[in-house]
Amino acid sequence: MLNKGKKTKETYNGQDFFQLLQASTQWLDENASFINSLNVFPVPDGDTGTNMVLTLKTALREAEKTLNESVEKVSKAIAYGALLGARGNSGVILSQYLSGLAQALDQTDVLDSTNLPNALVMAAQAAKKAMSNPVEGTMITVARVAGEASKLVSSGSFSDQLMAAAKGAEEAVEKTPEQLDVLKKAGVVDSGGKGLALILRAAANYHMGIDLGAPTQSIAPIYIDQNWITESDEDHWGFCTEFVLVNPIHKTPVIRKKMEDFGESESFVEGENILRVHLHSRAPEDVIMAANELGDLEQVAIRDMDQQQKIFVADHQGNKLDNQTGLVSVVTGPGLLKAMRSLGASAFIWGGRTMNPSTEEILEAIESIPYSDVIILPNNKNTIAACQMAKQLTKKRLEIIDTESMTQGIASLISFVENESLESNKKRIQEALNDLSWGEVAEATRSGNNENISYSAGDSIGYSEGRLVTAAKDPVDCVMNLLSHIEPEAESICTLYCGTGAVEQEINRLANLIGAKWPEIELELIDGGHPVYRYMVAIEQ
Amino acid sequence: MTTSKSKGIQIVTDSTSDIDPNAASDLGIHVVPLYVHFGEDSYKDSIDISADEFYEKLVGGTISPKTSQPTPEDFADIYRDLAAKGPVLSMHVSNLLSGTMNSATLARDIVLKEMPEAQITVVDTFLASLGLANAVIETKKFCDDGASLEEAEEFAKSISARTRIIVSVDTLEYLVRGGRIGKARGLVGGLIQIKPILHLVDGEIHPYEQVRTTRKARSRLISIVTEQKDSIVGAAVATTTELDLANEIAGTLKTELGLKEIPIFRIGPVVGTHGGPGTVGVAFVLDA
Repeated sequence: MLNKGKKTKETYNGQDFFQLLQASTQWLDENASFINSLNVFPVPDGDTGTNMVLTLKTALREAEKTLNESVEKVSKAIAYGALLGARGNSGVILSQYLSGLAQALDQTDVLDSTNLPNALVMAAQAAKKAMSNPVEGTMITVARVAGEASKLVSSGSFSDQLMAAAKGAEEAVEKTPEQLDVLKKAGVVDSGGKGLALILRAAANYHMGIDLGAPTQSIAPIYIDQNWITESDEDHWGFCTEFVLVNPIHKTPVIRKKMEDFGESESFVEGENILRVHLHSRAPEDVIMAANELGDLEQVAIRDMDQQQKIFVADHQGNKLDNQTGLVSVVTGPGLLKAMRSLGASAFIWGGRTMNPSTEEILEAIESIPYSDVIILPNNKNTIAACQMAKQLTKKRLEIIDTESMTQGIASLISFVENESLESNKKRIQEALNDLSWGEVAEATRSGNNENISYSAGDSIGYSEGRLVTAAKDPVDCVMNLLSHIEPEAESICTLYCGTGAVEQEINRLANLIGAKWPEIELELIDGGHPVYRYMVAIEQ
Repeated sequence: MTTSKSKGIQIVTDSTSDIDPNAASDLGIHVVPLYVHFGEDSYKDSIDISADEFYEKLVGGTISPKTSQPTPEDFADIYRDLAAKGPVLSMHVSNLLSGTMNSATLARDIVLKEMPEAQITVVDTFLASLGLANAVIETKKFCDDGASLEEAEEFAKSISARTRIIVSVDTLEYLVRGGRIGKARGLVGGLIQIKPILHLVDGEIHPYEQVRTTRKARSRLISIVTEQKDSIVGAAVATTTELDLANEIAGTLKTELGLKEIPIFRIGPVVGTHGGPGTVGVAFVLDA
């Protein structure tokens, strides 16, 4: 790759800085599969190269909104975007690095030799702070050495400083196997550290107008610690849970303390009125429920790491698993997540109250799982379009099942079999959906008249398969009317998913009424925790 | 009817085959019982305790039963006795589900030391219950037509390898309790009640698929089998507690598969400890 940089330019304004990072992102992207191949840890945390590139791309998109302004504004936008887009531990550290850089450039119009070394040092310090347990021989070490190297030539030119940082980073990368035994055994260098070195190298060469040459090819690590493979049992890793808290109600240390109880390997990255949290938990629904109390929850992504590890291990033992299908499901409500996560989904996207995740969130979930054939369950009519967009953007084989409700999603998951082809799973799911009748009860936010049914604000309105069929003052009456409309057959199972609005006494009354009216059906009550639907019903024949 | 043939091959199996003791003696098959224990009380499988008594105790009682393999001496006693009459072929439950194979091979070694001229072959069928029963009965028939011990062993291994077992259980609770299912995290401990369908793969229990209702699980048992009807040459049905249903399934499969006979086995206490009430299984044999 040949970069036509602005040779001998010694000051960078906002737009210049943006272009510098653009060059770095492109170079990292070209080398992403190489970085991915360096990952020797069977810690299924997504791939380092992909994570870092995704983080930088979101950073650039955010910064595009503030072009032609001061380096302060652009670097802040970059830091904010990186925070929003940070994926996996490596993405989190990188976003914190960029955030440190932005802090150093506060109230600065241009980036030049007077502030670059200090900015790189502060970036490294911020990166280290992101980790609760920083380890030497990783990206953190590489960042620190790069900063120190540029500081050594602080009296020199901007070119000298940037070149020194890149060189320092590269040398630090080469030393990582001496600091981490696992890298030495595998015959590789640290992947995140290498990623950062590539970012700095691309920036330096772009600045100098020096050709970067061809990207590095992926390699096969020569050694994987077999102990990791044999010792780690199922259920060991749990779920990688990531989210952003907008307007957090507590300071970061308080939130950190609260989150520590829920999992391990946690990292926190702060921005202005925003906090990105990443942790590994065996009960992601508890994490989400707790986080929900601490600010506005956004960009929740949940991935099954045990499943990822299984694929990783199979790949590295040379017995690649054939005919495997991954499944991504959109979910809203902690209880529904709990119900769904034991049924074999690889990743979840949190629908949130609006239940409309972005195409980007969907795409990232699809890309983050180690399957090339993927089924996605939108579980809401309004999410199907975003899934279709994602389908156009992904190279994976993606099958969208047009599920319009969580109940359809759960029925799909029950019939899903991971060890089967995409086609056979699609057939299984369609059959399961054919045997399902479903409905939802919500509170009317205003009065109206639809399908010849009148209701006032505050009434309970019941939908059967998305169509309004009943309205009543009492939610219990509404559910009973809805069930009468569906006409459950004998021997079927009726699952009642109770939302946040449903209270125990009301649920008991409802259960008694259903039992009395349809004694021959089996009733199952699930605390779904859906914020909008007081009740969801699923009747499976 | 065939026991009088003194030079014939003597067929031995264990009680996890779920061949009824009376039927076994009619067929000339020797069944070595495993043990089922309720606390301090031990029972010989299907001898000291009947299936009906057992399930009543299992559902109503507070003590979870445990099972154990026959002792090497249990096998040695019968091998000594039979080896004097002719060659012995001993066919058993998958070693991945029970330690029975260990006792049998140990017993064979003991007896061969005492009686160097004896001929005893022990075969791991990698099956259990109705699949094992069917393989044992078919092997017995094969031997009755006149066969060498080597030919009988080859037949036993071939039919075992061609046998498939598919089972619907009401709950995984009993399998989990007995530690007989390891690779089914997705099926255990979930919030949503599901009806698992399991199958035996290389002597181990694996999840096949999961459905929501009992009714669907039962109709799937039939459809999974009939999907392969062109290559099926034999089948059997077994249950712990659902005898009417087993009859019904056998009737349907007889028509669907065009088979003359589909035997029904009652799953006894030892296998029933791990399957639990409501278990229904189908075994079928694929064309060679």
